[in-house]
Formats: sequence, C-alpha cells, structure tokens
Amino acid sequence: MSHLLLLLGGACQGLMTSFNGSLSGSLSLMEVCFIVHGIGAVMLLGYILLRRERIALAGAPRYVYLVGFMGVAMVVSSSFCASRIGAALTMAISVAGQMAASALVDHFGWFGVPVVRWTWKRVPPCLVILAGLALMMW
Amino acid sequence: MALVVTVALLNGMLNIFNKMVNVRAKQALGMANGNLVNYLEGTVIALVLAIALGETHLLDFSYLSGIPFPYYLGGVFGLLAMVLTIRGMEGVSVAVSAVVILSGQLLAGFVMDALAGMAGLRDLAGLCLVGLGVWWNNRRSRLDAEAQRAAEAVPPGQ
Repeated sequence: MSHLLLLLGGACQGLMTSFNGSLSGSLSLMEVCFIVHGIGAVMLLGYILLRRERIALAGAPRYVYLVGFMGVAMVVSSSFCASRIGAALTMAISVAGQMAASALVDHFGWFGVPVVRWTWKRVPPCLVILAGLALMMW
Repeated sequence: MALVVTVALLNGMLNIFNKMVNVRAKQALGMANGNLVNYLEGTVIALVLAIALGETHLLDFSYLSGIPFPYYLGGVFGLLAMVLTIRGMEGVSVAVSAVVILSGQLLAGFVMDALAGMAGLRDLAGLCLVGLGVWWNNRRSRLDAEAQRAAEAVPPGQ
C-alpha cells in the first residue's frame, strides 16, 4: 500500500510540475508560487475546518519552520526548468539530484534514518542514469 | 542549458530534504497542521517577494481569469503529492521511496510532455534508462545495507 501511495504521489508531483510550467508562461515565478501555495493553503484550511480540528502550528523543532522557504524554492525551480525543457527532462535531471541527496541522507544517517554507507558499487547504476539523461538532452 | 541543469539538480536535492522535514513536521504537528505550516509560509513568502519584485498580475483579475483553468491545478496536485508521499514514506527507506516516487514522476511528466508534443520515443527510452538506473541503485543500496548489518553483527575479533 505504501508503494502505491508513493507512486501516486510521484505522479501528482509530475503533474504539478507540468501544470506549473504552463502557468509560468503567463505569470512570473513568484506569482506561480503564490497561486500554488495559496490554493493548497485554502484547501487545507477547508479540510481542517470540515473535520473541526484545531489549528495548532507551534511546538515543532525550529528547523521544521524552514519548510516554507524550501517549498517556494522547489516550486520556483521546477517551474523555471519545466517551462524551458519540459516536465519529463526536468524530472529526469531532478532524479540525479534526488539520488545524490538520498545517498547523503543514508550515508550520514541524517533525520534519524538508518545508516547505509555509500560504496563504489553504486557507480554503474549512476552511469546508467547519466546515459538516460544524455539520451534525452542531446 | 547549464543553468537549467544545475537548477534541476538542486531541485532534486531539495526535494529529498523537504520530504524529510515534512515527515518531521507531520510527527510534531499532525498531517494537516504540518502541511499547513508549509503552505501558509510559502504563500506569505511568495506574496512578499512578488510585491518586492513589482509583479502586479495578481491584482489583475481579468488577466488571471484569461489563463486556462487547468493551469491552476498545479496547486491541487502539489498538495496531493505531499500528502501521499508523506503517508507512503512511513516505514520505507529513503532509497526505496525515492525509486517509487521517481517512477510516478517520470511517467506523469512524459505523458504530459507527449500530449503537448514535447516528448517522443527517444525521451521515453531515456526515461526507461533513468528508471533502470534508479532501480539498480536502490537494489545496490539494499544489498549494501544488508552486508553492512551482517558485518556489524559479527563480534570484534571474529
């Protein structure tokens, strides 16, 4: 079930990148970011009010409150790239970045995840990824 | 092109860190409030920056209404993506979750680009290679984890 949720989540992320790229053809990157986050905020507030839950935003570790800045940077960067090279290539290049970050998180055990040290046996699959990117870019 | 590639790479790295922080936000504040922090902050930050940069389309409702409605769906899918990935990442390693999420991303991205006439067979072949590399990397990561756990389970001196 977790895998299905992740697959659908990834598909939604790809659709988001594609639609945001289209929107950035009519609006600036910050305006796109405002619209994307604003729509999400309204939907979430509606959900919380419908469920009669309490709005409680305090009490998390301080670094958690950097999440808004990261969200803005992600929307801006993906819209910037998707409008120029398309959603598919943007996602594919983003893959390389995600693989690098995943390897760092696992290697150093950041965010409390179990440590999985990086080995040189991971080089061949990275080369396959780069070959796929090269095929798409040239 | 170099700038676009660099930005896309950084987007990918930020994606992973953002997911980990959002999982922590959910643990501390609950799913809805954890996501709300993200979206409220992002709304305010983007509005402040848009005003500071002198961008005025947000005040022109006739202009906004002239943009095709589907273009506004990015926000809806973004929220869905966040909720689904946070739920799905519980109990799954970073490497495994990255593979599955990426499969969904690549497939959806290709379909949308193909519908817009921006992607063809070569792009599909490239995406398949990328997907293969990601799967192989994940498998390698799992084997490395098992080998490291086995090595750590052996008492020193044996």
